[in-house]
Amino acid sequence: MGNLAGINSSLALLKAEMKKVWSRPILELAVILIALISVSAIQTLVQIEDQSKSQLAFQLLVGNGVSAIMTRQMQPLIIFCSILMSLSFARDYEQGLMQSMLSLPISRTSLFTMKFLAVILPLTFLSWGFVIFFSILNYYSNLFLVIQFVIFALPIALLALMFYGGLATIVSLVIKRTIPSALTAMLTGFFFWFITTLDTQAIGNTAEYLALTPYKTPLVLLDRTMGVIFPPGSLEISLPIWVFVTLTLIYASIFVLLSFVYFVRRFEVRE
Amino acid sequence: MVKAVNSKTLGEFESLTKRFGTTQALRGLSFKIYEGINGLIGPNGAGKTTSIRLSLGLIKPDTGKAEMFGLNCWKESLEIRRRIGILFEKSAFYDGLSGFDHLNLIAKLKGISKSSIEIKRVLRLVELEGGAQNRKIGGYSAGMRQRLGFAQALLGEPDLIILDEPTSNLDPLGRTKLLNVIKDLRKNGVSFLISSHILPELERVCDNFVLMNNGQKIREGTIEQMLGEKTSKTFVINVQPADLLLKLLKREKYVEALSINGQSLHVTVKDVARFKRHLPLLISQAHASLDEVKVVREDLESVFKSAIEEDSDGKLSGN
Repeated sequence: MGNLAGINSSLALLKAEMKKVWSRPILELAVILIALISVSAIQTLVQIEDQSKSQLAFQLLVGNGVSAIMTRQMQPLIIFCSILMSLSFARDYEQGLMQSMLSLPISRTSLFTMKFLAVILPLTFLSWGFVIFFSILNYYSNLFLVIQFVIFALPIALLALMFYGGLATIVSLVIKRTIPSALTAMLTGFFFWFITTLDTQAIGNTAEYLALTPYKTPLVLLDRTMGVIFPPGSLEISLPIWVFVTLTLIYASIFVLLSFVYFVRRFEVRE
Repeated sequence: MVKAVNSKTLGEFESLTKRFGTTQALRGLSFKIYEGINGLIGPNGAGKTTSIRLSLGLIKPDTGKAEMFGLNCWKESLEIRRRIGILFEKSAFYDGLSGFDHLNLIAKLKGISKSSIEIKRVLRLVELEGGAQNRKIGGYSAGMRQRLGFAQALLGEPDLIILDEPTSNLDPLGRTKLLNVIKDLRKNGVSFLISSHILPELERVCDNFVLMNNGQKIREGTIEQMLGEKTSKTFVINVQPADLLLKLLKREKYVEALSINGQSLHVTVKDVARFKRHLPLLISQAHASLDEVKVVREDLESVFKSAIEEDSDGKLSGN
């Protein structure tokens, strides 16, 4: 009974947090922006000449398509993650809601988890929803194959967002001001994205290791699971897949754990 | 480990210090919170809100001991928060929810069964029932938000209710009603810790006071003890005729201020004992007949002012 009541109260808190963070016009803006970005990543079907290779070519095309949509989505997702985490943690602190909530008989663990999930879960499902929608729209001739591919996209989207969500959370908890923390989180997020845009012409062979950065690793993992072809000998294909799985999990958890420990053990309401 | 709960003392702060950057918020603060209505008074920056936050585990003391119900305020704050209701000066809510829905959420978080009956009870107490409870909190006035915050603090009948400036956004009628609710709840065994700048209100309801300045306690006690420490030096003497006594009193060096209103003389003296000894002689010399001598009672506000002045003077001379 006690556990059930605990789950009920956590769900009620999650619902209230979602309603607060995703209030108008945040949800509308997020839907529009992610939809537009996803549309721009759609690849048109090319005519497949060789019938004997048609199945393989189609698989490759779907894999590339799903990966391209997700890659493109990352930029608006970084922006929204930064803004929403800042709204959830820093604005609540500024307005006094954090103080009120921490004065209630609810554990800091529950409060942190619900606030974090209230941002991350809708963003993940929004991203995933558009991947499904546009993939099916584009490759409707083989729905089974499309669904197989997009299933991989869900955990990858969640893990990638957890990295930026964790980063934005720790920034919001430390800075405690809505606008400065949103801007700092956004700039830091884009820094990780920017370095992956450097190529071999700019920094030579070092560019290969950019596949191991927090931005690129989950996307490489997605590409590998969907059979996207990389140039022979490149780091993306030469390293075993478990390296990318491990790195993705580390990136996903590093800032989340850091911000969680800080919130539960050290965070104080001072003003 | 849960210790035995003292029947009289609800909270105990001992030698607490807390620094925020370059600001020393608490400097060895020690006081107790008792069953009943406790008033926490002091000027801005005295450390009242910091003490309240400490009691709820919102901040951790640098040194010293902070306990509520025999439990450590930082390590066992969850258990403490189950037994405390709080209204902060800066009330914040889920503005997108209605008053009723917000309280319903808080009731769930507090683990209150039969929450809808309890919510109706507290809404009735703060007079927010009817249409107001179904409106979004974002559209509430400052006074309504204050009352909703009070309702939230009352939810679940906590052992201790902490109110930080509870009447700051209320009109005079609202203040009176809130103070009456506090007094009624007191009769039912609920204890309060109230921090407020409106001292006459506190004087009306509080059983015990803690006066703070610069992160320290400077006085503590019941209203009688607080006022007793400061002997009144102003008297009203009703005599007939008053004119001659007025002339005689003017000559006395221990008289600080003197005024006349009809047959009433208002006298403020430096030396109360000497004045009391001397007065019968003066009345006799003035051939006056005495109706009554009234002591003008000091109020909490004057005690507060002089205590803060004495504390500041002491610090200056100490320096």
